[in-house]
Amino acid sequence: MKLFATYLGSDHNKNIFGTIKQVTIMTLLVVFITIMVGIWPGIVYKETAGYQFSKYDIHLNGPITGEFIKELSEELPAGAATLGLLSSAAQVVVDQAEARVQTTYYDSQSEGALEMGPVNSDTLVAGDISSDLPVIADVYTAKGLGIEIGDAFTVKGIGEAGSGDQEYEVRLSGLIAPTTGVTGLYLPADLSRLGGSEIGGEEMPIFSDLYIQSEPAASIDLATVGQGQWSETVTGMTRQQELKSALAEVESSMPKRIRDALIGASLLVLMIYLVREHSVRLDRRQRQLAILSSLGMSRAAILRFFGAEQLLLAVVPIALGSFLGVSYLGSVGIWLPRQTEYGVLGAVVGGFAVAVVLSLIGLRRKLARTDMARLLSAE
Amino acid sequence: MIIESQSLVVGYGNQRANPIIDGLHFSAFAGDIKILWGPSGSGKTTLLNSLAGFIKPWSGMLAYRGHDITDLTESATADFRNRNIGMIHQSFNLIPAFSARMNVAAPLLIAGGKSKNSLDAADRIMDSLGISHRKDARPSELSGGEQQRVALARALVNEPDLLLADEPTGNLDEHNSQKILGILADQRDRGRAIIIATHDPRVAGIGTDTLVFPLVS
Repeated sequence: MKLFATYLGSDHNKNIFGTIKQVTIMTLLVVFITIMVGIWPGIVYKETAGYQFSKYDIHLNGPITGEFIKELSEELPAGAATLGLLSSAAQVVVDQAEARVQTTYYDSQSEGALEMGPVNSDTLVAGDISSDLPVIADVYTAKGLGIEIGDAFTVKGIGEAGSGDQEYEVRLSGLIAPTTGVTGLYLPADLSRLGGSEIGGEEMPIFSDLYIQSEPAASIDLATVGQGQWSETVTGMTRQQELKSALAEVESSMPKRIRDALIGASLLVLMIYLVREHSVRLDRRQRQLAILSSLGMSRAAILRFFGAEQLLLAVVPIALGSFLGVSYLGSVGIWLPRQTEYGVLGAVVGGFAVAVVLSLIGLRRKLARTDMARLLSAE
Repeated sequence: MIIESQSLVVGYGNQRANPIIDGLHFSAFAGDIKILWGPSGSGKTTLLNSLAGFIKPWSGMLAYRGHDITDLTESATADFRNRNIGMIHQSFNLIPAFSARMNVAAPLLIAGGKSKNSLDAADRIMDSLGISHRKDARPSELSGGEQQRVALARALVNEPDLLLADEPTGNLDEHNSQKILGILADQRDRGRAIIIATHDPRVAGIGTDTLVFPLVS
């Protein structure tokens, strides 16, 4: 270990700038490789972010609770979040026996983006949600509107683009004590898609219950699809087709063959540089290796020394170069999915590993051919 | 007997034509200083390299303490060299990046010795050769005589039975040559077998036996 520590970088130790220069060049190469390998998946990810959900199979095998949604969100890669995961495919009411309703905040004002609030503890404090058209208000909203359970009232929808305003006659069926700080009406799926509403001339936020997109078909305790059609299963609408066409559109801008060729070429540049660098380093130290051999170091031990040194010298460029490459892509708005980050790291590490193996094969052949005695005898 | 050869044939190239050493019978005992005497290019270094395992004999037998070492694997030869042979060269062959102390300790570290023990042993041998005050210097900072003494310390640090020296005074002045010869004579008295390739008459003077090159078969 002591010998190795002294040997490490020993051809540069009189000139530390030599080692710094080599590490810097390797780092820049890794930055280049990271960008080359990561940029395309990053662009695809960015352009199809709205469809990412359909890449994930979501199996609903039990009551849908806030905890479940939380866990689900954590499994998704950063950026995908729940965007597109939740949509108005089905209204799900769970654990009806305990008269609880799970709710998800649907922000209709922000162009369809969904934000999940804490959803697990909005407890029905009065009424019944098993009717065909359950309409629930939190106690503050009900008080403000002056309505009680069983009262009928009109909801005037602002309507989706181009559909015009619509009015719905509904009847309040339950009250909840809100715990999320969000107050308003909780309506079945179809009504909540109005995009906004007025009640008695006042704008009123409308929330729908939990909407789950599921592929394959989800199996849940109890659900209602549309208005009052109770079902024990929910078939999620797939957007796979949309994703495919979006991907096709993005990918058509650069043929796969060219992309692969660019990645391959950049990896090749890295490997050629490394093998060449290793070869130069080896030539510089031929006499040193001959001396170690004369002191009793076997070829295998010399190979281990050389290989370990190359691997150690690669750690900083790999770590720093990958980080800088990914950061650069992020700075231009291209965030990589986690899988791609792993892929980039794999490509870089793989490139280094191949280069080190090639170098070691070359070194092994060179050592076998080198006339150690002649090197030692040379003045 | 420390080392012995019988009908040793050594040469270069795959053709196995024109051997440098042809049918050599040779032996060295503890306390011997064998002088390989002759002009440059006459085969002295070839014999030393063959004894050290750098050159495989074309034929014949080499034995160390009665054990045939002719057909050892590369790894076994390296191990044999590490444990039993000390080598010094005309050009010293110190590793430039290592301090004098690390150069001396290297054979022990290569053999798997613990760092502290190896460096302590290096300190002791350097002290006995009078160069401990230069232990932290790099080879480039040492004089020729100091470099050769560091090389000698390195050759002796693992206490080998056999010391091979190739023109050990070739790059030294009179004063330093005498110092080196004194150390070699001392090592002979300690029971090591020493084989020296040289064309320096001063070195030949300490020999117990002389083999004149080129050899005539």
